[in-house]
Amino acid sequence: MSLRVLIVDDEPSILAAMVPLLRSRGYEVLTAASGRAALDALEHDKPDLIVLDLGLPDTDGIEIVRLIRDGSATPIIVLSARGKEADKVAALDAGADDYVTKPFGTEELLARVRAALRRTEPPGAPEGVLSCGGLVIDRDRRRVTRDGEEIRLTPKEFDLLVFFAQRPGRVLTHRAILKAIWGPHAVDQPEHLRVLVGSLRRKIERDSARPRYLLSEPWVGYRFAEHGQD
Amino acid sequence: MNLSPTSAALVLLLAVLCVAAFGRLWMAMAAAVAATVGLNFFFLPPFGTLTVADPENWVVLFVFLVVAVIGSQLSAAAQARAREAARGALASTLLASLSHDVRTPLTAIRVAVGNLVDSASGAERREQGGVALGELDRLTRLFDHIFDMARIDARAITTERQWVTPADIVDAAVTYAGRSLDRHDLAIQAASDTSIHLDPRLISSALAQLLENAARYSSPSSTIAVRAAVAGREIRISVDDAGPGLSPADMARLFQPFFRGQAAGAIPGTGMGLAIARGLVAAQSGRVWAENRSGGGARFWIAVPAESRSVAVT
Repeated sequence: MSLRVLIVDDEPSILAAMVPLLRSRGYEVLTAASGRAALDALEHDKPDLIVLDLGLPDTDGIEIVRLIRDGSATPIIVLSARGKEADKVAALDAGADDYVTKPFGTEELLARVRAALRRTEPPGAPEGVLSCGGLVIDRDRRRVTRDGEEIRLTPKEFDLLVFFAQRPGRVLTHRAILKAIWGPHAVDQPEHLRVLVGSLRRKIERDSARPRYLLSEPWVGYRFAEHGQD
Repeated sequence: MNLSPTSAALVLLLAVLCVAAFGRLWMAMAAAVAATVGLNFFFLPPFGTLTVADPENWVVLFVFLVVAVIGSQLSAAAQARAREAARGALASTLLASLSHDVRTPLTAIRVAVGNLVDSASGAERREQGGVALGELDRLTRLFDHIFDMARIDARAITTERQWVTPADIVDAAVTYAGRSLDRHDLAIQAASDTSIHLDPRLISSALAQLLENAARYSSPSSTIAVRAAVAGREIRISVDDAGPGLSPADMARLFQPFFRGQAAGAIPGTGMGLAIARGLVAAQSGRVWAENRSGGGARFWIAVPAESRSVAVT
Protein backbone atom coordinates (compact mmCIF):
# COMPACT_ATOMS: atom_id res chain seq x y z
CA MET A 1 0.00 0.00 0.00
CA SER A 2 1.34 3.43 -0.85
CA LEU A 3 2.12 6.01 1.82
CA ARG A 4 -0.33 8.85 2.36
CA VAL A 5 0.83 12.47 2.41
CA LEU A 6 -1.45 15.30 3.56
CA ILE A 7 -0.51 18.72 2.14
CA VAL A 8 -1.92 21.71 4.06
CA ASP A 9 -1.66 25.02 2.19
CA ASP A 10 -4.22 27.71 1.36
CA GLU A 11 -2.60 28.58 -1.99
CA PRO A 12 -4.27 26.65 -4.83
CA SER A 13 -1.21 27.09 -7.09
CA ILE A 14 1.10 25.46 -4.54
CA LEU A 15 -1.30 22.52 -4.17
CA ALA A 16 -1.66 22.25 -7.97
CA ALA A 17 2.12 21.91 -8.33
CA MET A 18 2.85 19.73 -5.29
CA VAL A 19 0.09 17.15 -5.75
CA PRO A 20 1.39 15.79 -9.10
CA LEU A 21 4.98 15.90 -7.80
CA LEU A 22 4.24 13.62 -4.86
CA ARG A 23 1.85 11.42 -6.90
CA SER A 24 4.56 10.86 -9.51
CA ARG A 25 6.76 9.46 -6.73
CA GLY A 26 4.13 6.93 -5.72
CA TYR A 27 2.56 8.69 -2.73
CA GLU A 28 -1.16 8.93 -2.19
CA VAL A 29 -1.87 12.67 -1.78
CA LEU A 30 -4.58 14.44 0.26
CA THR A 31 -4.98 18.19 0.56
CA ALA A 32 -6.42 20.65 3.05
CA ALA A 33 -6.65 24.44 2.76
CA SER A 34 -7.11 25.36 6.43
CA GLY A 35 -6.04 24.27 9.88
CA ARG A 36 -9.53 22.98 10.64
CA ALA A 37 -9.65 20.90 7.45
CA ALA A 38 -6.17 19.56 8.26
CA LEU A 39 -7.27 18.33 11.69
CA ASP A 40 -10.38 16.70 10.15
CA ALA A 41 -8.28 14.98 7.48
CA LEU A 42 -5.84 13.80 10.15
CA GLU A 43 -8.67 12.13 12.03
CA HIS A 44 -10.46 10.53 9.06
CA ASP A 45 -7.73 9.71 6.58
CA LYS A 46 -4.80 8.84 8.88
CA PRO A 47 -1.99 10.25 6.71
CA ASP A 48 1.59 8.94 7.15
CA LEU A 49 3.06 12.42 6.75
CA ILE A 50 1.83 16.03 6.92
CA VAL A 51 3.36 18.88 4.90
CA LEU A 52 2.12 22.05 6.61
CA ASP A 53 2.38 25.69 5.50
CA LEU A 54 2.98 27.85 8.59
CA GLY A 55 1.03 30.83 7.16
CA LEU A 56 -2.54 29.53 7.13
CA PRO A 57 -5.41 32.02 7.32
CA ASP A 58 -7.51 30.49 10.10
CA THR A 59 -5.05 29.32 12.75
CA ASP A 60 -1.52 30.10 13.87
CA GLY A 61 0.82 27.54 12.25
CA ILE A 62 2.67 26.71 15.47
CA GLU A 63 -0.68 26.12 17.18
CA ILE A 64 -1.69 23.62 14.48
CA VAL A 65 1.58 21.73 14.96
CA ARG A 66 0.76 21.54 18.67
CA LEU A 67 -2.81 20.40 18.01
CA ILE A 68 -1.64 17.68 15.60
CA ARG A 69 1.03 16.51 18.07
CA ASP A 70 -1.54 16.33 20.86
CA GLY A 71 -3.16 13.22 19.46
CA SER A 72 -0.80 11.87 16.85
CA ALA A 73 2.82 11.00 16.12
CA THR A 74 2.48 11.59 12.36
CA PRO A 75 5.64 13.29 11.08
CA ILE A 76 5.22 16.96 10.13
CA ILE A 77 7.29 18.99 7.66
CA VAL A 78 6.56 22.72 7.85
CA LEU A 79 6.88 25.13 4.93
CA SER A 80 8.32 28.44 6.06
CA ALA A 81 9.83 31.66 4.71
CA ARG A 82 13.42 32.85 4.56
CA GLY A 83 14.60 34.65 7.68
CA LYS A 84 11.92 33.19 9.94
CA GLU A 85 14.33 31.17 12.09
CA ALA A 86 12.37 31.87 15.27
CA ASP A 87 9.22 30.38 13.66
CA LYS A 88 11.18 27.35 12.50
CA VAL A 89 12.61 26.71 15.96
CA ALA A 90 9.17 27.24 17.52
CA ALA A 91 7.60 24.76 15.07
CA LEU A 92 10.34 22.18 15.71
CA ASP A 93 10.03 22.63 19.48
CA ALA A 94 6.25 22.22 19.17
CA GLY A 95 6.81 18.82 17.57
CA ALA A 96 7.45 19.36 13.85
CA ASP A 97 10.08 17.05 12.37
CA ASP A 98 11.61 19.25 9.72
CA TYR A 99 11.13 22.37 7.63
CA VAL A 100 11.60 23.49 4.04
CA THR A 101 12.10 27.13 3.12
CA LYS A 102 10.03 28.63 0.30
CA PRO A 103 10.80 28.71 -2.55
CA PHE A 104 12.15 25.14 -2.46
CA GLY A 105 13.22 22.81 -5.25
CA THR A 106 11.54 19.48 -5.92
CA GLU A 107 14.57 17.37 -4.95
CA GLU A 108 14.95 19.22 -1.66
CA LEU A 109 11.30 18.62 -0.77
CA LEU A 110 11.39 14.96 -1.78
CA ALA A 111 14.56 14.36 0.27
CA ARG A 112 12.87 15.84 3.36
CA VAL A 113 9.74 13.76 2.73
CA ARG A 114 11.80 10.55 2.52
CA ALA A 115 13.79 11.43 5.66
CA ALA A 116 10.62 12.23 7.64
CA LEU A 117 8.88 9.03 6.55
CA ARG A 118 11.95 7.02 7.52
CA ARG A 119 11.37 8.14 11.10
CA THR A 120 8.17 6.10 11.23
CA GLU A 121 9.97 2.89 10.34
CA PRO A 122 10.89 0.77 13.36
CA PRO A 123 14.27 1.95 14.67
CA GLY A 124 17.27 -0.13 13.73
CA ALA A 125 19.11 -2.19 16.31
CA PRO A 126 21.25 -0.07 18.64
CA GLU A 127 24.31 -2.10 17.59
CA GLY A 128 25.75 -2.85 14.21
CA VAL A 129 27.25 -0.83 11.41
CA LEU A 130 25.96 2.48 9.98
CA SER A 131 27.40 3.69 6.73
CA CYS A 132 26.99 6.94 4.89
CA GLY A 133 28.90 8.16 1.82
CA GLY A 134 32.30 6.60 2.61
CA LEU A 135 31.88 6.96 6.36
CA VAL A 136 31.46 3.64 8.21
CA ILE A 137 30.46 3.68 11.87
CA ASP A 138 30.85 0.41 13.78
CA ARG A 139 28.82 0.89 16.94
CA ASP A 140 29.84 -2.43 18.56
CA ARG A 141 33.53 -1.69 18.40
CA ARG A 142 33.10 2.10 18.57
CA ARG A 143 35.24 2.54 15.47
CA VAL A 144 34.83 4.96 12.57
CA THR A 145 36.49 4.75 9.17
CA ARG A 146 36.35 7.07 6.17
CA ASP A 147 37.23 5.43 2.86
CA GLY A 148 38.82 2.59 4.81
CA GLU A 149 41.02 4.79 7.00
CA GLU A 150 40.37 4.80 10.71
CA ILE A 151 39.39 8.09 12.38
CA ARG A 152 40.02 8.41 16.13
CA LEU A 153 37.16 10.04 17.98
CA THR A 154 36.68 10.88 21.65
CA PRO A 155 33.71 9.12 23.34
CA LYS A 156 31.57 12.31 23.14
CA GLU A 157 32.44 12.86 19.48
CA PHE A 158 31.51 9.24 18.77
CA ASP A 159 28.16 9.57 20.59
CA LEU A 160 27.37 12.74 18.66
CA LEU A 161 28.25 11.14 15.32
CA VAL A 162 26.06 8.11 16.05
CA PHE A 163 23.17 10.36 17.13
CA PHE A 164 23.40 12.20 13.78
CA ALA A 165 23.95 9.12 11.63
CA GLN A 166 20.84 7.46 13.06
CA ARG A 167 18.78 10.44 11.85
CA PRO A 168 20.09 11.17 8.35
CA GLY A 169 18.55 14.03 6.37
CA ARG A 170 16.62 15.49 9.32
CA VAL A 171 17.18 18.82 10.97
CA LEU A 172 18.05 18.44 14.67
CA THR A 173 17.71 21.51 16.88
CA HIS A 174 20.52 22.59 19.19
CA ARG A 175 18.29 21.85 22.17
CA ALA A 176 17.40 18.35 21.00
CA ILE A 177 21.05 17.44 20.44
CA LEU A 178 22.21 18.95 23.74
CA LYS A 179 19.54 17.02 25.60
CA ALA A 180 20.45 13.73 23.92
CA ILE A 181 24.24 14.00 24.37
CA TRP A 182 24.62 15.89 27.66
CA GLY A 183 21.23 15.49 29.31
CA PRO A 184 18.36 17.88 30.09
CA HIS A 185 20.47 20.14 32.32
CA ALA A 186 22.62 21.17 29.31
CA VAL A 187 19.94 22.45 26.90
CA ASP A 188 20.87 26.09 27.49
CA GLN A 189 24.58 25.65 26.87
CA PRO A 190 24.89 25.66 23.08
CA GLU A 191 28.63 26.40 23.31
CA HIS A 192 29.25 22.76 24.31
CA LEU A 193 27.64 21.61 21.11
CA ARG A 194 29.39 24.14 18.89
CA VAL A 195 32.81 23.18 20.19
CA LEU A 196 32.10 19.46 19.81
CA VAL A 197 30.71 19.89 16.29
CA GLY A 198 33.84 21.87 15.39
CA SER A 199 36.19 19.13 16.58
CA LEU A 200 34.09 16.37 14.99
CA ARG A 201 34.10 18.22 11.68
CA ARG A 202 37.87 18.59 11.75
CA LYS A 203 38.13 14.81 12.00
CA ILE A 204 35.43 13.51 9.67
CA GLU A 205 35.23 16.20 7.00
CA ARG A 206 37.79 16.47 4.20
CA ASP A 207 37.42 20.27 4.26
CA SER A 208 36.01 21.38 7.59
CA ALA A 209 35.34 24.88 6.17
CA ARG A 210 32.92 23.25 3.76
CA PRO A 211 31.34 20.31 5.56
CA ARG A 212 29.78 17.50 3.53
CA TYR A 213 28.42 15.35 6.35
CA LEU A 214 27.61 17.62 9.25
CA LEU A 215 25.69 20.53 7.75
CA SER A 216 24.68 23.71 9.58
CA GLU A 217 21.12 24.94 9.60
CA PRO A 218 22.01 28.46 10.71
CA TRP A 219 20.51 29.47 14.10
CA VAL A 220 18.28 26.36 14.13
CA GLY A 221 20.49 23.28 14.40
CA TYR A 222 22.36 20.74 12.32
CA ARG A 223 21.52 18.17 9.69
CA PHE A 224 23.48 15.04 8.87
CA ALA A 225 23.63 14.75 5.07
CA GLU A 226 21.82 11.72 3.76
CA HIS A 227 24.58 10.36 1.60
CA GLY A 228 27.46 12.69 2.36
CA GLN A 229 26.55 15.60 0.07
CA ASP A 230 28.67 16.34 -2.95
CA MET B 1 -5.33 85.17 42.96
CA ASN B 2 -4.02 83.42 46.03
CA LEU B 3 -1.89 80.88 44.15
CA SER B 4 1.80 81.39 44.98
CA PRO B 5 4.12 82.16 42.04
CA THR B 6 5.88 78.77 42.54
CA SER B 7 2.65 76.77 42.39
CA ALA B 8 1.47 78.84 39.42
CA ALA B 9 4.77 78.17 37.59
CA LEU B 10 4.45 74.43 38.18
CA VAL B 11 0.82 74.36 36.98
CA LEU B 12 1.74 76.34 33.85
CA LEU B 13 4.73 74.05 33.22
CA LEU B 14 2.42 71.05 33.46
CA ALA B 15 0.11 72.66 30.88
CA VAL B 16 3.04 73.31 28.52
CA LEU B 17 4.24 69.71 28.82
CA CYS B 18 0.71 68.43 28.14
CA VAL B 19 0.62 70.46 24.94
CA ALA B 20 4.09 69.14 24.07
CA ALA B 21 3.06 65.53 24.72
CA PHE B 22 -0.03 65.60 22.51
CA GLY B 23 0.51 68.49 20.08
CA ARG B 24 3.12 69.59 17.58
CA LEU B 25 6.42 71.20 18.44
CA TRP B 26 5.30 74.72 17.34
CA MET B 27 2.23 74.48 19.57
CA ALA B 28 4.42 73.54 22.52
CA MET B 29 6.81 76.43 21.86
CA ALA B 30 3.89 78.88 21.59
CA ALA B 31 2.48 77.48 24.85
CA ALA B 32 5.88 77.93 26.51
CA VAL B 33 6.06 81.60 25.49
CA ALA B 34 2.39 82.23 26.43
CA ALA B 35 2.94 80.59 29.83
CA THR B 36 6.02 82.74 30.46
CA VAL B 37 4.10 85.89 29.61
CA GLY B 38 1.11 84.73 31.69
CA LEU B 39 3.33 83.94 34.67
CA ASN B 40 4.77 87.44 34.49
CA PHE B 41 1.40 89.18 33.95
CA PHE B 42 -0.66 87.43 36.64
CA PHE B 43 1.72 86.08 39.25
CA LEU B 44 4.85 88.24 39.46
CA PRO B 45 4.56 91.67 41.14
CA PRO B 46 3.58 94.24 40.03
CA PHE B 47 0.50 92.20 39.01
CA GLY B 48 -1.41 92.98 35.79
CA THR B 49 1.64 94.36 33.99
CA LEU B 50 4.43 92.92 31.89
CA THR B 51 7.09 94.59 34.03
CA VAL B 52 8.97 92.90 36.85
CA ALA B 53 9.81 94.68 40.12
CA ASP B 54 12.32 92.28 41.65
CA PRO B 55 15.25 91.69 39.23
CA GLU B 56 15.59 88.12 40.60
CA ASN B 57 12.19 87.34 39.03
CA TRP B 58 13.72 87.92 35.59
CA VAL B 59 15.91 84.90 36.38
CA VAL B 60 12.80 82.94 37.42
CA LEU B 61 11.04 83.85 34.16
CA PHE B 62 14.09 82.99 32.06
CA VAL B 63 14.59 79.60 33.75
CA PHE B 64 10.88 78.88 33.38
CA LEU B 65 11.04 79.59 29.65
CA VAL B 66 14.14 77.42 29.18
CA VAL B 67 12.61 74.49 31.09
CA ALA B 68 9.36 74.75 29.11
CA VAL B 69 11.23 74.86 25.78
CA ILE B 70 13.54 71.92 26.65
CA GLY B 71 10.54 69.90 27.83
CA SER B 72 8.70 70.60 24.57
CA GLN B 73 11.67 69.56 22.50
CA LEU B 74 12.26 66.32 24.40
CA SER B 75 8.63 65.47 23.98
CA ALA B 76 8.69 66.27 20.25
CA ALA B 77 11.77 64.06 19.81
CA ALA B 78 10.07 61.20 21.66
CA GLN B 79 7.01 61.60 19.43
CA ALA B 80 9.16 61.57 16.30
CA ARG B 81 10.86 58.36 17.46
CA ALA B 82 7.52 56.73 18.15
CA ARG B 83 6.22 57.75 14.70
CA GLU B 84 9.42 56.40 13.10
CA ALA B 85 9.08 53.09 14.98
CA ALA B 86 5.43 52.81 13.90
CA ARG B 87 6.42 53.52 10.30
CA GLY B 88 9.18 50.86 10.57
CA ALA B 89 6.73 48.32 11.99
CA LEU B 90 4.19 49.11 9.26
CA ALA B 91 6.85 48.87 6.53
CA SER B 92 8.05 45.62 8.05
CA THR B 93 4.54 44.13 7.97
CA LEU B 94 3.91 45.35 4.42
CA LEU B 95 7.23 43.99 3.18
CA ALA B 96 6.68 40.64 4.88
CA SER B 97 3.30 40.30 3.20
CA LEU B 98 4.69 41.41 -0.17
CA SER B 99 7.56 38.97 0.18
CA HIS B 100 5.07 36.17 0.89
CA ASP B 101 3.05 37.18 -2.18
CA VAL B 102 6.14 36.93 -4.37
CA ARG B 103 7.39 33.70 -2.84
CA THR B 104 4.14 31.82 -3.37
CA PRO B 105 4.14 32.00 -7.20
CA LEU B 106 7.93 31.45 -7.25
CA THR B 107 7.47 28.24 -5.26
CA ALA B 108 4.60 27.05 -7.44
CA ILE B 109 6.53 27.80 -10.65
CA ARG B 110 9.66 26.07 -9.36
CA VAL B 111 7.82 22.88 -8.43
CA ALA B 112 5.73 22.94 -11.64
CA VAL B 113 8.79 23.42 -13.88
CA GLY B 114 10.51 20.66 -11.90
CA ASN B 115 7.56 18.38 -12.68
CA LEU B 116 7.80 19.26 -16.40
CA VAL B 117 11.56 18.56 -16.47
CA ASP B 118 11.00 15.21 -14.76
CA SER B 119 8.42 14.07 -17.27
CA ALA B 120 10.14 15.58 -20.34
CA SER B 121 11.05 13.01 -22.94
CA GLY B 122 13.69 14.74 -25.04
CA ALA B 123 17.10 16.06 -23.96
CA GLU B 124 16.25 19.43 -25.49
CA ARG B 125 13.16 19.85 -23.31
CA ARG B 126 15.07 18.88 -20.19
CA GLU B 127 17.71 21.43 -21.12
CA GLN B 128 15.10 24.15 -21.57
CA GLY B 129 13.61 23.21 -18.22
CA GLY B 130 17.09 23.50 -16.71
CA VAL B 131 17.43 27.02 -18.16
CA ALA B 132 14.06 27.99 -16.63
CA LEU B 133 15.06 26.64 -13.21
CA GLY B 134 18.44 28.40 -13.33
CA GLU B 135 16.82 31.72 -14.21
CA LEU B 136 14.22 31.18 -11.51
CA ASP B 137 17.07 30.89 -9.00
CA ARG B 138 18.45 34.19 -10.26
CA LEU B 139 15.05 35.82 -10.01
CA THR B 140 14.66 34.55 -6.45
CA ARG B 141 18.04 36.00 -5.46
CA LEU B 142 17.15 39.28 -7.12
CA PHE B 143 13.91 39.44 -5.11
CA ASP B 144 15.80 38.61 -1.93
CA HIS B 145 18.15 41.52 -2.65
CA ILE B 146 15.30 43.90 -3.44
CA PHE B 147 13.47 42.99 -0.22
CA ASP B 148 16.65 43.34 1.82
CA MET B 149 17.27 46.79 0.33
CA ALA B 150 13.68 47.84 0.95
CA ARG B 151 13.83 46.70 4.57
CA ILE B 152 17.09 48.59 5.10
CA ASP B 153 15.65 51.72 3.43
CA ALA B 154 12.47 51.61 5.49
CA ARG B 155 14.47 50.92 8.68
CA ALA B 156 12.30 47.83 9.03
CA ILE B 157 15.10 45.60 10.30
CA THR B 158 14.40 44.09 13.67
CA THR B 159 17.26 42.80 15.75
CA GLU B 160 17.17 39.81 18.08
CA ARG B 161 20.37 39.45 20.04
CA GLN B 162 21.80 36.15 21.18
CA TRP B 163 25.16 34.80 22.35
CA VAL B 164 27.20 33.32 19.49
CA THR B 165 30.87 32.83 18.63
CA PRO B 166 32.68 34.36 15.63
CA ALA B 167 33.05 30.77 14.32
CA ASP B 168 29.23 30.35 14.28
CA ILE B 169 28.84 33.56 12.30
CA VAL B 170 31.34 32.46 9.65
CA ASP B 171 29.82 28.96 9.54
CA ALA B 172 26.35 30.41 8.89
CA ALA B 173 27.66 32.87 6.28
CA VAL B 174 29.35 30.04 4.35
CA THR B 175 26.05 28.11 4.46
CA TYR B 176 24.11 31.18 3.22
CA ALA B 177 26.58 31.79 0.39
CA GLY B 178 26.17 28.11 -0.55
CA ARG B 179 27.18 27.02 -4.02
CA SER B 180 28.56 30.39 -5.06
CA LEU B 181 31.76 29.45 -3.13
CA ASP B 182 32.11 25.99 -4.70
CA ARG B 183 34.88 26.94 -7.08
CA HIS B 184 37.14 28.63 -4.53
CA ASP B 185 39.38 27.48 -1.69
CA LEU B 186 38.26 28.74 1.69
CA ALA B 187 40.77 29.46 4.45
CA ILE B 188 38.92 30.20 7.68
CA GLN B 189 40.34 31.35 10.99
CA ALA B 190 37.48 32.06 13.36
CA ALA B 191 37.58 32.23 17.13
CA SER B 192 35.30 29.90 19.09
CA ASP B 193 36.60 30.72 22.57
CA THR B 194 34.66 34.00 22.90
CA SER B 195 30.93 34.64 22.62
CA ILE B 196 29.42 37.95 21.56
CA HIS B 197 25.93 39.33 22.03
CA LEU B 198 24.33 40.51 18.76
CA ASP B 199 21.84 39.52 16.06
CA PRO B 200 23.89 36.90 14.23
CA ARG B 201 21.54 36.69 11.24
CA LEU B 202 22.30 40.26 10.17
CA ILE B 203 26.08 39.99 10.41
CA SER B 204 26.12 36.51 8.78
CA SER B 205 23.98 37.74 5.90
CA ALA B 206 26.30 40.73 5.48
CA LEU B 207 29.35 38.43 5.54
CA ALA B 208 27.69 36.13 2.99
CA GLN B 209 27.38 39.14 0.65
CA LEU B 210 31.10 39.87 1.06
CA LEU B 211 31.95 36.19 0.39
CA GLU B 212 29.81 36.09 -2.75
CA ASN B 213 31.41 39.34 -3.85
CA ALA B 214 34.90 37.91 -3.30
CA ALA B 215 34.02 34.74 -5.22
CA ARG B 216 32.56 36.72 -8.09
CA TYR B 217 35.59 38.97 -8.64
CA SER B 218 38.45 36.51 -8.17
CA SER B 219 39.43 33.61 -10.40
CA PRO B 220 38.16 30.08 -9.67
CA SER B 221 40.36 27.94 -7.39
CA SER B 222 42.02 31.03 -5.87
CA THR B 223 41.80 31.34 -2.10
CA ILE B 224 39.28 33.40 -0.12
CA ALA B 225 40.58 33.94 3.42
CA VAL B 226 38.19 34.77 6.26
CA ARG B 227 39.34 35.85 9.70
CA ALA B 228 36.95 36.56 12.54
CA ALA B 229 37.85 37.52 16.09
CA VAL B 230 36.76 39.70 18.98
CA ALA B 231 38.98 42.76 19.36
CA GLY B 232 38.25 45.08 22.26
CA ARG B 233 34.56 45.88 22.29
CA GLU B 234 33.77 44.71 18.78
CA ILE B 235 33.85 41.71 16.49
CA ARG B 236 36.03 42.16 13.43
CA ILE B 237 35.76 40.03 10.34
CA SER B 238 37.94 40.33 7.25
CA VAL B 239 37.55 38.73 3.82
CA ASP B 240 40.62 38.59 1.55
CA ASP B 241 40.36 37.76 -2.11
CA ALA B 242 42.95 37.26 -4.84
CA GLY B 243 41.03 39.37 -7.37
CA PRO B 244 42.24 42.49 -9.19
CA GLY B 245 41.85 44.77 -6.16
CA LEU B 246 40.00 48.10 -6.08
CA SER B 247 40.70 51.25 -8.06
CA PRO B 248 40.67 54.53 -6.07
CA ALA B 249 37.62 55.65 -8.05
CA ASP B 250 35.68 52.52 -7.09
CA MET B 251 36.72 52.71 -3.47
CA ALA B 252 34.63 55.80 -2.70
CA ARG B 253 31.37 54.50 -4.16
CA LEU B 254 31.75 50.77 -3.52
CA PHE B 255 28.96 50.51 -0.97
CA GLN B 256 26.43 52.68 -2.80
CA PRO B 257 23.37 50.88 -4.12
CA PHE B 258 23.55 49.83 -7.78
CA PHE B 259 27.18 50.91 -8.13
CA ARG B 260 29.30 48.41 -10.06
CA GLY B 261 33.07 48.78 -10.09
CA GLN B 262 35.47 48.76 -13.02
CA ALA B 263 36.27 45.09 -12.46
CA ALA B 264 32.58 44.21 -12.90
CA GLY B 265 32.72 44.20 -16.71
CA ALA B 266 30.48 41.43 -17.94
CA ILE B 267 30.28 39.65 -14.57
CA PRO B 268 26.58 39.36 -13.67
CA GLY B 269 25.46 41.05 -10.46
CA THR B 270 22.76 43.32 -9.10
CA GLY B 271 25.02 45.99 -7.61
CA MET B 272 23.09 45.58 -4.38
CA GLY B 273 25.22 43.07 -2.46
CA LEU B 274 27.69 45.46 -0.84
CA ALA B 275 25.01 48.08 -0.15
CA ILE B 276 22.98 45.39 1.61
CA ALA B 277 26.04 44.32 3.61
CA ARG B 278 26.53 47.93 4.73
CA GLY B 279 22.85 48.37 5.63
CA LEU B 280 22.64 45.13 7.63
CA VAL B 281 25.79 45.98 9.56
CA ALA B 282 24.70 49.59 10.14
CA ALA B 283 21.45 48.31 11.67
CA GLN B 284 23.67 47.14 14.55
CA SER B 285 25.79 50.30 14.64
CA GLY B 286 28.60 48.50 12.84
CA ARG B 287 30.59 49.50 9.77
CA VAL B 288 32.04 47.95 6.63
CA TRP B 289 34.97 49.17 4.59
CA ALA B 290 37.43 47.93 1.98
CA GLU B 291 41.13 48.28 1.27
CA ASN B 292 43.72 46.89 -1.13
CA ARG B 293 46.10 44.27 0.23
CA SER B 294 49.79 44.96 -0.14
CA GLY B 295 50.25 41.62 -1.91
CA GLY B 296 47.38 42.29 -4.36
CA GLY B 297 43.66 41.61 -4.10
CA ALA B 298 41.07 43.30 -1.94
CA ARG B 299 40.29 43.03 1.76
CA PHE B 300 36.81 43.79 3.06
CA TRP B 301 36.14 44.44 6.73
CA ILE B 302 33.09 44.20 8.97
CA ALA B 303 33.24 45.57 12.51
CA VAL B 304 30.26 45.47 14.87
CA PRO B 305 30.33 46.65 18.48
CA ALA B 306 29.10 43.97 20.86
CA GLU B 307 29.34 42.83 24.43
CA SER B 308 31.57 39.74 24.76
CA ARG B 309 32.31 36.96 27.23
CA SER B 310 34.67 34.01 27.16
CA VAL B 311 33.28 30.57 26.47
CA ALA B 312 33.68 28.14 29.32
CA VAL B 313 33.44 24.57 28.10
CA THR B 314 33.83 21.74 30.52
